[in-house]
Amino acid sequence: MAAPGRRMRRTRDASSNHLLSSYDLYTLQGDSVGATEILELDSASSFYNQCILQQLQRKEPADVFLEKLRKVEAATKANYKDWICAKKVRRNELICSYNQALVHYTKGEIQQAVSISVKELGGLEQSQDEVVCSRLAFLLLECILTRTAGRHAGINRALTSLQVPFSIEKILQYLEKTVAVDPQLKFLLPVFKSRLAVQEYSDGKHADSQIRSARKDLKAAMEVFQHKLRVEPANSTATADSSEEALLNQQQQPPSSVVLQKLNSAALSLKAHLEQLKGNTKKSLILCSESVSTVVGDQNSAVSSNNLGCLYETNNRRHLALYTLSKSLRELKSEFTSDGTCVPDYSVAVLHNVGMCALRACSFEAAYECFAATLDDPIFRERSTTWLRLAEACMGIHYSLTREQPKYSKVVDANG
Amino acid sequence: MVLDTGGITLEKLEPVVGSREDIAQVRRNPLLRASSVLSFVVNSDDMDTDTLTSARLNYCYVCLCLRRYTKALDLAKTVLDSEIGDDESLLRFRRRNLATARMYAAEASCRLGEMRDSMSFLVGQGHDDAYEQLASHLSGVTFEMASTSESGKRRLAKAHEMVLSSASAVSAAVGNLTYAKQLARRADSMDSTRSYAKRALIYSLLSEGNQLQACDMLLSLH
Repeated sequence: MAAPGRRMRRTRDASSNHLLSSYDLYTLQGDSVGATEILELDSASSFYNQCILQQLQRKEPADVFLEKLRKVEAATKANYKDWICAKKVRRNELICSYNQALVHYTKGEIQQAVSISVKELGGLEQSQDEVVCSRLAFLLLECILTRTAGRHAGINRALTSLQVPFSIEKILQYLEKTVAVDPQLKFLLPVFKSRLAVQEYSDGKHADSQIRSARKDLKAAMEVFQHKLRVEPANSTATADSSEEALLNQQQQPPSSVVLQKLNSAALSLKAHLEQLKGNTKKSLILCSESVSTVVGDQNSAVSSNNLGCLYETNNRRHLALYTLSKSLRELKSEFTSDGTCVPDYSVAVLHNVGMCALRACSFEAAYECFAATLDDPIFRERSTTWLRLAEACMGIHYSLTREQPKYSKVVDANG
Repeated sequence: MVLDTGGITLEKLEPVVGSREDIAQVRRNPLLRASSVLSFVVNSDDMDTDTLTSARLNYCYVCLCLRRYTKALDLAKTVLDSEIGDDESLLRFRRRNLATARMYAAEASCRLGEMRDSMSFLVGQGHDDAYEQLASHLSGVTFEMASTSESGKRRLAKAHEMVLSSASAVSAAVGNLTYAKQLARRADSMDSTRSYAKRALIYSLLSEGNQLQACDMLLSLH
């Protein structure tokens, strides 16, 4: 299931002539195009911000973007000597590190993303910039969950293999203290707790209590979303005298942020997952459809197709599942969208799901090819279950051959 | 003396998984790849107990197909030595695994000439309804479930036929031909659509020198 959208961070730049600065336009409304137009190029951080905003529109390859970020960051740092506030300098450094870690995560370079996050988080002390450090901590949790999925005792293994010096409990304790400053972060914390509980459930540990805990956390997250983050509809009786006034009204409203829609969509997907674990496929399908309808966009559609495919497969509608999953594969790619959220490359995970469906639909050769393709990804290559499924596909092919070709059995005997 | 291998040479495993040559090889000789992969999967430590058991049973099946009976017996015994645990929701699944391991162990022992061991794997504790219990665990269907469901009934009958056919084959190998024929006929009555019971009966008939009846039965199979 999809993770909440991770966003590139921009440094705050000074702007006095516009009701919303370019920083606010980007952060609150996810409008990278509008933000670029009114970006003031008179501060040290503006060139860095320009680099980010341009990337969101041009979508150059991640390697090129990372190199550019590093160069601009180095040039920006050279100007820091003109700045008085050390705290602000440190904040910008944290933002630069966060963005680099995010690009690594999007590329699938989990270890690099973790190393940057761990280095900047230090000992998880509260004196550092809490908002950015919280984002780093969430990114760290995201990387751990990515490495964990599908493995027995996955969390502990992930912490060891990624060389994370903190326990999950310590990271969560740190976040409990720091997320109060930002409603979005307050929303993210229970969502992550819920996802961690689902992972613990997958390990078979205290299954019922883990699911109850996951549901409780998700309910808390939805409450935060409804009361703190949700858009209030505009007062429909108010009329604007001019188009300028209309623009003013729009800018002053709480934003109908695409980012918040994506966060809501991710929470609905997680809820659908919990319903599926409970065996309530019908409700799960409804929640999945609701999750799709909250956000428009190819990537969201691709992730939702994957989730729907998993649900169809659970419901023994194998060929429909295969069709839906293949649709997802066609649409997926790793990128940063124009509102700054990143979409890592889920194609290998979807390919694994296609392999599982093909195995259950007795298309053993197709299943073998799918699982063999997932071995290109180091995360899947490390998992013993991937190899086990590969072997099961081979045994399925053997079974088909014994039924279709009587002479095949004799050949096996001779070779054995 | 020179061994005649009939012109069939042993294949070498393709080094790159998923390459065109590998996929062609898997289509031709899938157990080669399966054996190679399962040999290290069963030694990994990042799977839970149930998944590891499944991996061992898969490997056991592959070893039986490739005539590696000693390895197959070791794997089956490892599964049989594992704990069934308290989890009610997984009990039926785990019993099924243990029943499968007993069947594999029985076949491997039989192939290695250990007939008593083979029969003891099938009979288990030696209860009167030993075969019925083994069939019930193997199919995952209880007698109560079978009485209310047609598909459950078919699955149980199929499992029963397999267990009795195996017991018949072992009995015939030991020389107890009367008992072997009895078991084979019982198996055939469970599920006459399948050929294992008939083959077990043919084996018993041939062992006691009744070629004519065996020949009739063989012709009826084709």
